[in-house]
Amino acid sequence: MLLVQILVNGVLLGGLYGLMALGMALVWGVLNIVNLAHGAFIMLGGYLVFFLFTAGLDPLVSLPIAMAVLFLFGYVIQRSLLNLIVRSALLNTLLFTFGLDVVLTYLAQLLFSADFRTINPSYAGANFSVGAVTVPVGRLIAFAIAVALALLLYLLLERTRLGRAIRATAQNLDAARLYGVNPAQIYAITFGIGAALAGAAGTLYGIVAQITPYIGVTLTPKSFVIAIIGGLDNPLRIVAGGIVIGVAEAVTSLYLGPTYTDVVSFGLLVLILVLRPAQSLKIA
Amino acid sequence: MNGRWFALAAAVALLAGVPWFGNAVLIQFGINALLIAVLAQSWNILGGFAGYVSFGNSVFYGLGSYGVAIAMAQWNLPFWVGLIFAATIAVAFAALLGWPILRLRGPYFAIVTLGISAAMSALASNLDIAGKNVGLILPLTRNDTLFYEASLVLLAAATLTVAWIARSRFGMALIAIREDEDAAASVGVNATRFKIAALAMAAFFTAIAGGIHAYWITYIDPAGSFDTTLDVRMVIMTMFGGPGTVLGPVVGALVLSAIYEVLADSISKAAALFFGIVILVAVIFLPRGLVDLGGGFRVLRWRYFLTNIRQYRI
Amino acid sequence: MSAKLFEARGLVKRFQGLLAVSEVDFAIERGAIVGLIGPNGAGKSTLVNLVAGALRLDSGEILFDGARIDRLPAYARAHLGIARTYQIAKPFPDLSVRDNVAIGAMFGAEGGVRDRAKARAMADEWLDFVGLAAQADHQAARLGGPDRKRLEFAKALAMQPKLLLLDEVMAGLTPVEVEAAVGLIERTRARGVTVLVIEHVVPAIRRLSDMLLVLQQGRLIASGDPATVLNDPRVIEAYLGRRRA
Ligand SMILES: Nc1ncnc2c1ncn2[C@@H]1O[C@H](COP(=O)(O)OP(=O)(O)OP(=O)(O)O)[C@@H](O)[C@H]1O
Ligand SMILES: [Mg+2]
Repeated sequence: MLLVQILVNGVLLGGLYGLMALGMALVWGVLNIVNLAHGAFIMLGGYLVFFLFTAGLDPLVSLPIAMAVLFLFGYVIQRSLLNLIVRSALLNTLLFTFGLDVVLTYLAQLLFSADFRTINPSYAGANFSVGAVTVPVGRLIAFAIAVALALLLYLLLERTRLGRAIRATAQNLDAARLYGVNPAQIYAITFGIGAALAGAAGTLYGIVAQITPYIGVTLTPKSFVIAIIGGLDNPLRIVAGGIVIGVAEAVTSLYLGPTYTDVVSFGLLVLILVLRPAQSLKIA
Repeated sequence: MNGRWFALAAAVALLAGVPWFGNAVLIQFGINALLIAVLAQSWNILGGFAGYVSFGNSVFYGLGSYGVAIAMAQWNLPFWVGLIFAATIAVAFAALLGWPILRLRGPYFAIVTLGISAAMSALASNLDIAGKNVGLILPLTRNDTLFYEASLVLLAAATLTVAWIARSRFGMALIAIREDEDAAASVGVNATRFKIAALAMAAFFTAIAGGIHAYWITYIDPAGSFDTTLDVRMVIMTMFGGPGTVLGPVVGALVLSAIYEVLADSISKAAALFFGIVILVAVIFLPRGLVDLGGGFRVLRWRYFLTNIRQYRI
Repeated sequence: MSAKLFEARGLVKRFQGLLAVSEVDFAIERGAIVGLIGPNGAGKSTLVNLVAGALRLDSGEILFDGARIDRLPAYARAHLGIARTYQIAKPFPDLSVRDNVAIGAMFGAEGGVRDRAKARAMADEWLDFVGLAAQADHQAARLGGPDRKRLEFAKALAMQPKLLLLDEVMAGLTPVEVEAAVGLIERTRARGVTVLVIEHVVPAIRRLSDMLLVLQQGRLIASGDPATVLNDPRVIEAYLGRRRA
């Protein structure tokens, strides 16, 4: 029974992990940029919603606000800075987003202090029981929203003009240009969407866990691994990848204890990367 | 050429003389700056020459610190034996770790290295011999001049090693890997072997730096030894100074350490931001580092920065 | 020492569902120039990748100098004396043209020469041989298309291979340049190198080759004396079929 409970917790948390990875996978697949500041974007979304919450706004109301603000933030960063180096070696964009991560983390530490923050509306701590299993409402909501956003992203990419333009740009920049797509614009919009998804993930993360300026350090690699497990081209598969990691973590902390989660998740990361060679990855 | 050698010799002599004309504060700053320059120079071997960005080299620094601390505090061995022990562990760890993770390329490798220090720190805080969460206390030796000169000698050794790499077949192999790993394999470069050797060399110098530092400050704990901000600094200093060059990482480390020191005095809280901003600026305007600026700027003047941007923007 | 330098037995390579190379057998005599032709997507480059070790076989055997090499990594095959060029040139972009070739000389067959100055001197000779001496100090990334092909060629030669695999080194060249390339390949053979040439330019390859292989949809549909092969109805069909499409 304990195992079932652990599985439920893992699956629900895993949905949120999937949402974290969505934005990273989108940006990686379309722009060929591995955004090492993605975790910091999640952190920013969390703080934004936290402050709105202390001002009396329910986090579910703030969620779209956080997404809009982070969209703008991401759009501007890409348009003004990242577009300048987007064609250079992957190494350079990697280092640039690494620098961005450092700047955002220390800024957050400076402005928001290193204290732990949580967003706790009445439903965050609530539970209900199904048989012997307890379902935490906060995690359930996070899971539902994560799946909904993944579906939305899927529809956006497959069914809209913008989605077609994004996919065309991912496949072949020059060909996309011939069809009248402005890649600089599409890149900025895509990066903005990635940031908006991070904002949503940060909101939900703040409901189920604690926010500090440093959460990005673990959330970035986690998002990366999930993006790899799920592949870069299908939002729903990425959520499934998140669930895999969520369950693996829950089981680890049950059997080995929480101090070893870092060691185990690092081992898992190496194992997954080594066993799954880069060549088999289809980059959108 | 002779002028350059002369300037270099003068700079080394000046650095070596610091304990005789500098005050205690300057010597302490010097020790820190020289040791971080060793880290940058070591990072340069794999990162600058072979193009493999590691965010986890601080793990070798931590192993070096712990190696010396365990040898001295737990086993009562002399410092130099501790250094040998520390370097051996770090090199063995590099070889063991390198074998699986150096098959990964680009972002895969970089991301994996992000997790290493966190994992090792967690391990150290669970081990009895490493003093668990509390850490270890080393015997006290008050001789900053000695620590300073030891750090300088270590930096000189690391730099001479890199100078050799830059002229050797080994270095050519690393550069070929950086430029195009598949093409390198087709001309007969055994990439895995060279990459592991490069990581092991980096581990060697980094661990000794960690060992010297541990003995100097006489106290270590998991958070301070497996310190990921060291990774931030060594990467940024190398990129800023000039990755894949012999003197770039040293120049980058000394210049940035000095600027940081001044900032930390005046605007202590915001000083850490500085490193992040440096790398943002460096990647866009100085992709080949500070040591390339001199020549490039002389020829192109301000257009140097524009050319750098034009190359890669969309 | 047998007359056969190289032998492929039952080579198979799949990409997901696609059978890119299927049950291919052939042998190459020491000192020969063997031509390999076939329509786009026939599997020619895949075959080169299999021989050079850039891709792993799904099944089959590769023998070189009488020993199995199909389990060896690419660098080890280079040490044994197999050199290849890439259809889409793969220079070391930031390095000078000379250093590109010097790297070939410093590694290559039997691990190459150890000394860098000597490797550079050898590089200059090879650059002279392919007609790139004037560009020796240029950055490789700045070379134009035909010069990139020459650089690929020089880099492979500097490895001092026994077997040289040339993947479309003549594509995109003018007729005059094609003539020069034909001459180069003949002079390369005269130095004792065995050559496998992949080419679309049929007249050139017909003149060069001692033996011709024709690949279509991964299968070897004809092999043997160039004149006979080129008159084979199936080969004509394969090529006309391509033109119609
Ligand atoms: N890495 C790969 N992954 C998936 N499919 C591949 C890969 N490499 C080649 N293919 C496919 O295998 C088939 C054979 O390709 P190959 O490049 O060997 O043909 P080719 O004969 O060299 O053609 P060309 O004359 O155009 O150079 C093609 O259908 C190609 O799309
Ligand atoms: Mg081909």
